[in-house]
Amino acid sequence: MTDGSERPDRELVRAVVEERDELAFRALYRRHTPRLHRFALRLAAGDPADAEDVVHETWVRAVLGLPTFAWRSALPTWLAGIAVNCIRERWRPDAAALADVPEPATDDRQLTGLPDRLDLERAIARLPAGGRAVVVLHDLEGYTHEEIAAMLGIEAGTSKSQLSRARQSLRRLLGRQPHEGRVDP
Amino acid sequence: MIDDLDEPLARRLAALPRELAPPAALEERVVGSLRQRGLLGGRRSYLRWVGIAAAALVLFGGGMALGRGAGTRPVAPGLRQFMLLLYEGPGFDAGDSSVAAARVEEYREWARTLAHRQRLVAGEELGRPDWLLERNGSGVAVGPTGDHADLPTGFFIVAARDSADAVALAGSCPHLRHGGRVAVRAIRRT
Repeated sequence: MTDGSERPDRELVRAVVEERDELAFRALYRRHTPRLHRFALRLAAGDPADAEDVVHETWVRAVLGLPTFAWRSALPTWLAGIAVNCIRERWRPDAAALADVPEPATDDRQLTGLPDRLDLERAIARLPAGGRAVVVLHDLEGYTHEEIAAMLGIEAGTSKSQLSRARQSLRRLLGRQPHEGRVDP
Repeated sequence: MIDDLDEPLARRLAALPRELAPPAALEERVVGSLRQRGLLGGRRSYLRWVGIAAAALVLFGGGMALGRGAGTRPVAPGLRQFMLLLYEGPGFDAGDSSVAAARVEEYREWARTLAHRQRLVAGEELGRPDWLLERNGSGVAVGPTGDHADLPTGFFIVAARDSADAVALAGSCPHLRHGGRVAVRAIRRT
């Protein structure tokens, strides 16, 4: 008897779709949720409750859509796209943030000189939603601008310009500019 | 202007963790939602019905020689056929492996009783996954029945004098004892 942890994604997906196999789903969930959870937490600006809601909604929508999933992308990529949609629905009241990354407030410079992971996470969380999404998708998850454009419903050029502005904002939030000396990790 | 990712920021981004263990309760929340929508839970039901189907083959092996298909099993003359549709709602107790054998025997005994009275025509599990087709504009949309989970998971066709008799037969179905529901529908010959 196996818990499914060694079975490939396609086999587990087939079992979920054709047999509604709970063990197969749990194997998929345990395999992919740690990355999905971190991804959702970053997109949700560090709000754990929002991140859990996004993970929950992502899996429900994914299982509903699995019968038509054509494997044109890897399963984690498909899940990330669903998660982005879930997050975007939460952005609607602040849709303008998708189009622009404003200058950070002066108070944000208080983060200067704290070059650790936590501060970088905080800085990412303080980016406007659209810029944050592009940084997470491109610089952390490795998606191309074309893929990001498809996920966010924007042009690839918009993704590039948002990324540029978001990186500048990140540097400001972290208290340094590109021409300044290296900051030890 | 495209802002290139300078090395210090790139290194710091690369050092960020890519995974985070979710809280244990989240898995149960997700699984619970999927069960509620009828998207998970097929394995236990499937195994139970496989057992019942195997029992039915043993029961009706002789009867199968008389012919195949609904209406060809030996039933009492002058009776009408009714379909009993079995549903597993939220209150249904599917049981676990420890009670599976007893559950199969329970359904088997019920089917045997009906067969001996020449009241059983057929009984089958309904396949999974279930699909729902709906008119969508000028076309037809095909999707899983996740939002329409209250669909039958099996059926029996019984022979009965009338609706009241069919309801009485259905009332003895063990499915009811385990929280399931049984709909009685008259089969109208066309």
